[in-house]
Amino acid sequence: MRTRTTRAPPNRLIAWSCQPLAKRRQYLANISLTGVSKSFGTLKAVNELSLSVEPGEIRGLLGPNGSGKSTTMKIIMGMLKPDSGNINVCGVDVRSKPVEARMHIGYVPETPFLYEYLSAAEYLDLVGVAYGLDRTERKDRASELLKALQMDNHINEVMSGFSQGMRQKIALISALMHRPKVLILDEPLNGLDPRSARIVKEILHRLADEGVSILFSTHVLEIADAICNKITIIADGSTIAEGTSKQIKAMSGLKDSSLEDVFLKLTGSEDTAKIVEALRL
Amino acid sequence: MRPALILTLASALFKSYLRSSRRARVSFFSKPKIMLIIDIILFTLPAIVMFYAVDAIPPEYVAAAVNLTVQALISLPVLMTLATIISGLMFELGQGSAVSSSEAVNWLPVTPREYVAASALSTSSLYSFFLALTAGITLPLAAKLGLLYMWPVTILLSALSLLLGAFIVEFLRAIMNRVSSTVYRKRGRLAMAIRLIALILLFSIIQLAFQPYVLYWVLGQIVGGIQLAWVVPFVWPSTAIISLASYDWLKTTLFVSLSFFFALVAYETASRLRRRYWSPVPISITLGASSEYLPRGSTSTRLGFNPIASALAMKEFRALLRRRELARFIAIPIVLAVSVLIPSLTSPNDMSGRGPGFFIAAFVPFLIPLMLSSISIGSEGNSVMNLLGLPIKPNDLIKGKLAPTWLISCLSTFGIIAVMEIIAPLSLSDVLATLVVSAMAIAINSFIGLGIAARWPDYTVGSRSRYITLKGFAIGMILSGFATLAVYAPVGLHIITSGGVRGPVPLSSIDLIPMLIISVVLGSVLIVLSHIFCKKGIENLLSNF
Repeated sequence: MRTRTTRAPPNRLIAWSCQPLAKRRQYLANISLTGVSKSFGTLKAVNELSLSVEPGEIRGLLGPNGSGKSTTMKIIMGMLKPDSGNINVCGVDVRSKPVEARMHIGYVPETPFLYEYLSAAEYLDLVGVAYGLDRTERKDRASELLKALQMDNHINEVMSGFSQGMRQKIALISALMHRPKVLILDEPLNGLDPRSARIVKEILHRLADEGVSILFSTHVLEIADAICNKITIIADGSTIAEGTSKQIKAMSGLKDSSLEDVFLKLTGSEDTAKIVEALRL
Repeated sequence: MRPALILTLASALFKSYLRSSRRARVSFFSKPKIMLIIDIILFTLPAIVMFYAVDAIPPEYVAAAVNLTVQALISLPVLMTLATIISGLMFELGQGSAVSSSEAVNWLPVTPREYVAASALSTSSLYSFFLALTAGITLPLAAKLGLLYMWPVTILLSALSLLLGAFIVEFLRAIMNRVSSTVYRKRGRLAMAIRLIALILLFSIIQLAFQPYVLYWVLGQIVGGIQLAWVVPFVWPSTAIISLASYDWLKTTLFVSLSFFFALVAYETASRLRRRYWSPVPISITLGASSEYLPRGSTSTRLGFNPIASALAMKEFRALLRRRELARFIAIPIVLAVSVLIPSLTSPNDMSGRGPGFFIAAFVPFLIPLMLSSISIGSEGNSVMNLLGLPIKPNDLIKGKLAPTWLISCLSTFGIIAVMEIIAPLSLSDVLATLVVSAMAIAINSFIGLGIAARWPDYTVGSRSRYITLKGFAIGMILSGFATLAVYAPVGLHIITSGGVRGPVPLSSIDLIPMLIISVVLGSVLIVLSHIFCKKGIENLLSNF
């Protein structure tokens, strides 16, 4: 595997040193969002959100359904245009150069609509060509990832016959093909069997060690607690808590509780027992 | 621009389309190279046949053959553009907003220009067989009739026109994303109705705008005496061939250049629109302000539908009205009917009696019920599991699925008969007979459509989805075509022999009543047979689940 430096490249370093303190963090971070807002009609999906993920960091993005997690990720990918704010990925302004920014990112969407009637090999070939990999790189990289996730026996099968877990594996492989500096993963462990989930977690740790920035959304809080260095909890499009799991627990006054309890308290959904009681099951 | 990426993406889109009728395996016929070989065969075989056939033309007909070949070569580019746009409307634009917003290409580092080039290349490759076939037919004709100098230019311009049609399809795709985004999260049924009407109007206007007849008629009204070719870019390739036929080299060069320029403009426009509406926001419709769930009684229970069939019928209606990818299935029959009617409306004096009106009226009960019912199973996509998991009987499923088809088909048939009555009136008895046979044709074709939908569904709700496999579509067209012909032919015979067409008819007038009886008997038999065909298909679908 190629080794990667966690330090900013020289040209970025020079630019960084000439900037005031607030700006310097932006240069160091691989993902940087400043005051990003996005509305759909009257609904404010993302509200003045600021977020930065530094090299080597695994950031968990947590929030209830409809809190703006997927919208935020699509904005970072340049798939949605924000109404205001700045987005920077590896020093590239996403708003003005979305394609250039995507070259640095590996993305797994919440519901990946892959090209159903392509075989896994054909799809990965398309992805490799899009990221500018040569034939040998495409072959080698796809082979090792397919083998790692036990998909090597399905390489020539058309993906329309794949289960959700198999599609998720292909989406993950395609996100890792080009050794990106940034990974944006929207519920990446959905549908994966325990072995594959464990492998993916190991891969994420390894990539983080090599300096890759990972933004990771999940509803399984134990996973977030175990994997992420830092966590951002959002509700109604705004950040309500940010920090390490320990810091967030301390901040919410639930030092010895699980992240689930903290999450429920912060997002105002503690009354679960009463709701179930009212259902007359 | 990365040519390797454009070719790989074009190949991916092309394979997706070819394989949509084959599940979970890569078959022999689903490879672009095989399609290229098919194209070569389609070129070679007619070329060989025509090579020997041209020699058989008697000398007195050679001048007419030359004239005919020139006309064919001139028409070829316009036909290519038209065929691509029609096919594009029917198959290429059927993509839901949820899929459009989550399609893999949205998050890959692909520029809008690269995407448009790849998508247009894949679309034009799909219809390249048409170009190969016509090239094969015209080459020996051109060679032996002294028109060989025209042939390469014609084929080059036809290929360009094919690509131009594909660019226009891309343009439409972007506009559809725009229409969808505009009504995103708009509240109420009115917004939904506006969206549906906007999509249907968009389909209809674009479709009609590329009909040469309509184009010439509209422009003729506006610009009157001036040379129309100068203001209609779509006919520039044909104009170049006309100039070439008269050895006007200057004009030929000018119109060939203009044709290439126009294709570039179309490409650039489609790319810019794609950049602007790159990834549409999935539609979210809010019907009302209340957050309270209020179960409603359905009016269809009063029409003999039990609650489950009635609920299913309502679900189908709502899907047709709310799903963007289904709007084209309402638009296409309207567009086709209007295209058939336009010549009659613009020059009613040309109508050759009542016959054409009757046959135009037959067109709607043939196409609309077949089209709407044949997509009704495949369009469920993965949620077909929810439907088939219900405790539902085959007859209830048939009733529920076909209720919207029957209503839309009956209204459209009534509408077209009413319009034809204004243009070329039939007698009251003939109108009533037409209504009777039309009702029977609607029943038969809807049963056939649902029968093939149950046997050959395509559940892909994604890129280039059709909801029915190509095999199913072809079988449905053949079965429905014969059934419609059988039901309409007896009454049609009466109309033709009783002054329905201009000019002499080799048969004496045939009375309506016996012909209507034959139509009704044939129709009744076909209704029973098609219902059995449909029910068996639905039973198999339910039992195999």
